[in-house]
Amino acid sequence: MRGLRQGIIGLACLVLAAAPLAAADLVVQVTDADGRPVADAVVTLAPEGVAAAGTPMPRRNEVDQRNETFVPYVQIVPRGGEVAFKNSDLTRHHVYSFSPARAFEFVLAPGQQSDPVRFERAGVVAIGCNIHDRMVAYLYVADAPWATLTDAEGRAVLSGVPEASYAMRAWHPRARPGRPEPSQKVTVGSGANQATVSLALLREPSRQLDRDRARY
Amino acid sequence: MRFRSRLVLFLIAVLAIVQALTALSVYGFTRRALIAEGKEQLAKSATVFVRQLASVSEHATERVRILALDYALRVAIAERDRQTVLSALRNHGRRAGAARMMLVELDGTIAADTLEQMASAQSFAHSDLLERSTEGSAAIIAANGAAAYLLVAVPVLAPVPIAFIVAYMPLDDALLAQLQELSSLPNAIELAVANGTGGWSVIAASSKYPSLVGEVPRLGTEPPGEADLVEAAGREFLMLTTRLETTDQRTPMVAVLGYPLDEALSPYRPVLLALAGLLALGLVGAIMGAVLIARGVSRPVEILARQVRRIEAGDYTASTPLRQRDEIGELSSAFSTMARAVADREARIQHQARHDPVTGLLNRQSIEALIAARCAARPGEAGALLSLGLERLHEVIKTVGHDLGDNLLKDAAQRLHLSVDTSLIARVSDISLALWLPGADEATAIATAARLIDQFQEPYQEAGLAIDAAAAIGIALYPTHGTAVGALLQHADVALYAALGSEDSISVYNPLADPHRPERLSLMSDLRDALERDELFLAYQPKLALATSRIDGAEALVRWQHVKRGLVPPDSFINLAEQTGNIRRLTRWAIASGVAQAARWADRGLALRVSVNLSVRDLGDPELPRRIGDLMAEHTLAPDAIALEVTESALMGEPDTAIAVLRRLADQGIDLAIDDFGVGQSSFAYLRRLPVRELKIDKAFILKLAQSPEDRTIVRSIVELGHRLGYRVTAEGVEDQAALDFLTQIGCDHAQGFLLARPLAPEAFDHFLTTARWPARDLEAAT
Repeated sequence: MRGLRQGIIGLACLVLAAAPLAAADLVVQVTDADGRPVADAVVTLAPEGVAAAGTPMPRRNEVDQRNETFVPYVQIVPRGGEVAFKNSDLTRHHVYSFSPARAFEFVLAPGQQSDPVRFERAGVVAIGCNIHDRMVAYLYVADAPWATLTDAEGRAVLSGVPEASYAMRAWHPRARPGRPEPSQKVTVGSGANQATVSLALLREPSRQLDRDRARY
Repeated sequence: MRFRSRLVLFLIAVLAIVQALTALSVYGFTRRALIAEGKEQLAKSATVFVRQLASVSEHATERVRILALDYALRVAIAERDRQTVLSALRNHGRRAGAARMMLVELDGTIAADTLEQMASAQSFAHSDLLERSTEGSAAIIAANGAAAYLLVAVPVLAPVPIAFIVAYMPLDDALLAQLQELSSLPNAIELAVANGTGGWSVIAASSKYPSLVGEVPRLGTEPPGEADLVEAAGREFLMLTTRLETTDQRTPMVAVLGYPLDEALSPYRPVLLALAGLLALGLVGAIMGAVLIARGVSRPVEILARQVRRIEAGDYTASTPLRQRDEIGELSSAFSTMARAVADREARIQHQARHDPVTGLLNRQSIEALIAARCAARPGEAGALLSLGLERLHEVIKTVGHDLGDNLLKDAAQRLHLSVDTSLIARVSDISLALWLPGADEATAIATAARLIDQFQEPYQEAGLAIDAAAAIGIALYPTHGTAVGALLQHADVALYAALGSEDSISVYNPLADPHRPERLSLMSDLRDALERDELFLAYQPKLALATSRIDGAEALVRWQHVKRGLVPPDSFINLAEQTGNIRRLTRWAIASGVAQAARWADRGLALRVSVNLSVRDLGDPELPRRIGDLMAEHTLAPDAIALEVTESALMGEPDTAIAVLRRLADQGIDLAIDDFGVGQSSFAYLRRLPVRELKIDKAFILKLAQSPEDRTIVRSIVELGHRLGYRVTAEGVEDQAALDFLTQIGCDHAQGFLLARPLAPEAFDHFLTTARWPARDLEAAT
């Protein structure tokens, strides 16, 4: 049932995208307070007022655990999307989340893959491993129609965005916890649209210390 | 101050000063070095302390972080199970040694507090700490009144921060003790927080030391970057204050690090003690050395001083010079030489002072002193002083000269030495030697003297001359003839002169015969006064004219009623007056007095001729006749009212001037009588040359007239011869009637004597005239 419905929505999106509507691309440059490009930042775009169908996002996602690292580090999951955790390491991993958006925990034996976890509530879900403290990954459960991650240059490209005004939000793991995401208004016109977002980030990720010290 | 004391004092002072300066500089140097070292150490310690505090906080953080990673705790926190969270916090807090644990929400609200059972929903005060801890962890010191804590905040990661755990790690004495154990921190550490009044309150301290907090500069003053020297409870500390980072800049905290100087110095105390010991040892050594050196220097000087004092006192006995080769030794030998020279010279002077240069014998002064000393040393012992004179010495000197006279005396001294065993021989005058015979009585002295005279039998031979010096000896006996040596010597001389004039060459002093008795001198001056004070008077002895049985004259005799001595015998003072040249005044007075008396008698109609005695010296006075003439004229007296008497011996051998005086008196009509006729050596041939009118037969022939037929013959012969030659004859010393009758019978002109009357004062004489059996001749009868 659930798979069927998703398939329908996806189809609809495709149809919509194909429609000869006036649509444009939005390139968002995300920097930190010092102007340096910020990678792995989530940029979301939500139309003001009416809801609009955005770019369809994959509903089934996967988080692999390789070399005691969650891969990918940040992943956007559409609300209602599922994520399966896979253990590609030779050690066990005790995956957990205490995030209000979705709390869970389970142990994955080497080579084991978890049942997909479904995320019904929008928000950031911080995932950790209780065995390996420095393992962390973020699932951004997005409610917005458009959401994407910045590349290494801190550039996020949102394509096929209808010309209109939007509330643009940006999030990054190093954003201060407990603070609302900064939001700014963008108006997408025809042609190439540019926007910049400056994020106030913590200088050091908390676990960076441990990483630096540990020599194993 | 004596030299020795000065030297000792100086050495001690120098040593003490040097030692004290050494000790002071050592102490000062040590102290400075210690202070420098202490400052460095304190600076290091401060760094270490801050680092340790940081380390403590890191450890605490680590512990808390591990707690925060506890899965169960994280589940409880995520699930907001407050009770579980609280109990877990308590449990873990105990593990970590925290005094208080808190769970703080991301928004700063306190979700749980181990000190509060109920959630108070207060905000955590130190939000900045939380802010910092989101980047890992944070620790800071927070002071709360009298207590301070290390606040450690750690985020609870799930895996992103979901809350903070805050642990209060107490900063207390125990922590300080732990820190001190762990490292080489100084013993004196205090943690202090600024109090409301600007001062500092101690939060934690190592209790062993007095608190230095009082010395910390007040809040608002920048604490010095370097350690400071302070004093607390009488002890010196180097103090360094380090500001600690705290949560609140309004309540600053400091760590006060102290470095006790005395303790740091204590390892050097034995050094100082050793120095003090060395000082004491050095002082003792210096004193001993100084005393020794000073003695070495000052003892010869003292000996020298004693030597000089002895010389000063007159003791020249060769003090052995010091056997030193230095200046003092030279000085000492110079002193010795000088003392010997002075002694020699003084001996020479003394010898000269005591001895006669010619004979080498003692002189008078020294023999006097020696005899006196000897007599004083042996009281009760008798002795005899012999004075030896050479009768011809004066002659010898006059004819041959003093040299031979001196040789003669020297020879005499040698002869004395030959026969007498006494050293006490002296030359006492130009012509005499004195000799002391200790213990000799009169007989021994005379015997010795005789032996001595025998020594001079051999004449003295020199240059072909043989001189018989004719020695004579006078003897004075001690103590019979005097106890004073001077008097004794004088008496011996008197005896010597007596011996020189007599046949016997030895004479013992006879005090009765001594014409040089001292009282005569005083009598002399008394006589002069007596003349002025009318103490003299004339006594009159009546003369009886045998042919008429009438008193027709009187001999005036000078009498002296001395105020103290009573009636002075006329012989003594008249002789004296003659010898001392006062006789002329006496005669002048007697003549004036006699003339006046004769005038008074003449006025009363009495024809009494007054006879006045003249001395031979009066005859040398050419003014005498004129003066008598003037007196007679003054009293309008006839020349026969006065007669003058001169003794027979006085006239012998007188020069022509005297005879001229007598002639002028005779020319004036004044009769002259020869007194004491018959005992002298005058001859009638000589008398014939003199204008004499009367002879007075000496009483020696008259006194025994009744018994002695010879005397009767002599008197009768004198009277007859006198009458034939035209002299009147007077007999003196008529004391009995038989003599008077005899004299009357042979035709003697006048009689005088006790039979008639003694010499009488004028008043008594007048009385005598009225009562006597012989009336006085009056003027009618005379004319």
